[in-house]
Amino acid sequence: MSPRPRGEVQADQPGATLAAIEGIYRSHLPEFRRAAAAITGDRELACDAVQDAFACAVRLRANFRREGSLNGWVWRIVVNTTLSQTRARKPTTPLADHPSTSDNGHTDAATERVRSALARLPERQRLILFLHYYADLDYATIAEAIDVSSGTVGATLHTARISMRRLLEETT
Amino acid sequence: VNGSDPLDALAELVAPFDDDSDGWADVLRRAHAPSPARQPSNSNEPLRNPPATPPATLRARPSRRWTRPARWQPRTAIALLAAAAAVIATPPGRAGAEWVGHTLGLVELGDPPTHHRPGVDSEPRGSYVIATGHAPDGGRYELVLDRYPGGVTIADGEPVNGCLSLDWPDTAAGSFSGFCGPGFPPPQNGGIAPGGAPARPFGFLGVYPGATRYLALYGFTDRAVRRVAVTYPTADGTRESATVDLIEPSDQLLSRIDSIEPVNVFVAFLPSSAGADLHGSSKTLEVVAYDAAGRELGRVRHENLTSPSIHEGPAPEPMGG
Repeated sequence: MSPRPRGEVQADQPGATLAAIEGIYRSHLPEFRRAAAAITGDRELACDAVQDAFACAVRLRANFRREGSLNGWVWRIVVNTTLSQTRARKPTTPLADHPSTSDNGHTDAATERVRSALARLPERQRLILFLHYYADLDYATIAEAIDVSSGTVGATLHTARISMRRLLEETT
Repeated sequence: VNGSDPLDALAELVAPFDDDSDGWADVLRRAHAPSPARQPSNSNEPLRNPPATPPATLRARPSRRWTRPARWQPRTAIALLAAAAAVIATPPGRAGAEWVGHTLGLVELGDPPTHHRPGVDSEPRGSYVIATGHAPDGGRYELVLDRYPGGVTIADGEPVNGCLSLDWPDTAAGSFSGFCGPGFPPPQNGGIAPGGAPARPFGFLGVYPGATRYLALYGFTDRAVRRVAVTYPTADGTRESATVDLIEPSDQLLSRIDSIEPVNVFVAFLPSSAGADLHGSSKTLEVVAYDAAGRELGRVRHENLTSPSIHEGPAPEPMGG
């Protein structure tokens, strides 16, 4: 028997290669961390969750079956890990519920209005907003990340924007 | 988002992170860090002798004593049986019965796997459990053959018409990707088969996080093989034997899956200590086949099974038989 029997799918095929996951990590770490920070409301927890998520992706890379993009698969793990760690943390302090403090330590009224509006959005709308605005993900990748169709992403994002604008206008 | 978009304020909620990607080493450390669920209780004490699979009687679910209520009459029982038979005769009824069977771990050789899995580029034309059993730490496995009679092209461009994967239907880990090849059993280069090594592994030693803390290796044997020993080296230079299941699919099943030759299937479980460093030094496994009388029929040496470099490494070396 050959070490790679003829026609055999290597351990990384259809799974993902370690190098590919590392490439995503090195290319997009700030976006992963920023989206995770939006979800958790805690930058330190976000960094930790992203590290754990990538460790999980490394362990499970053989599970990747190439039905979608590797980037989307990794994003799904990051989102799920971050949500899981946020929910496990007591008390939970997601961004939308977190008191707003700017760099100089003062609460900014504008950002507080945005935060307040975010808090009133359904979780899925919030999540899609985060992934779109903080990670700059396209609809397809967001769809893979949260396991919905691209159409749902577009519709949800549209609804979220309208809701946000309405909520912001109400508080202006 | 244009400059006047009120949603621009979102950007101010979370300050950007620096492009600091030096944490990759930390990712790898976390990925390979022992977790309570995947590591022996004392990580310094390798599981030299994997605990034998508990006897079936110990693993069996405790059955509830089923007594007939005093008010039941034979006529009632007959009516219930008839109703049950009628329900099972319907497609939803069959599906329900199948679900119950799968839930209870009653899948049999030749059945479809407990969980449907997406195929390689296309849906398989048939999925069959060709071996099932339990890992030494209790997890139920199903070795599944997905068949693509028309062939599919995999990542390296070669057409295949069969893929094997080891599923863990009772765990959240579920299905793991496996190995594909033309025909079943997968052909082997080097003139080893047919008529070569009577027991030969296929694919690599696999890790199944979330399903079992053991490493698993599966392969095929000639029908004459009645016992397979898989040995691995230990830190002190000795060799230990893995726990091995040997399964004999029926001739009918082999016919259904268009098996090129009659084969048995083996699944070996090695303690995690046998391949602790998945990307580290070479590990040499030996797969030894014995007949019913205990005579050795042959052996193969399988090297670097746990390393990605296996892809470019030497072929497993036939050692006789």
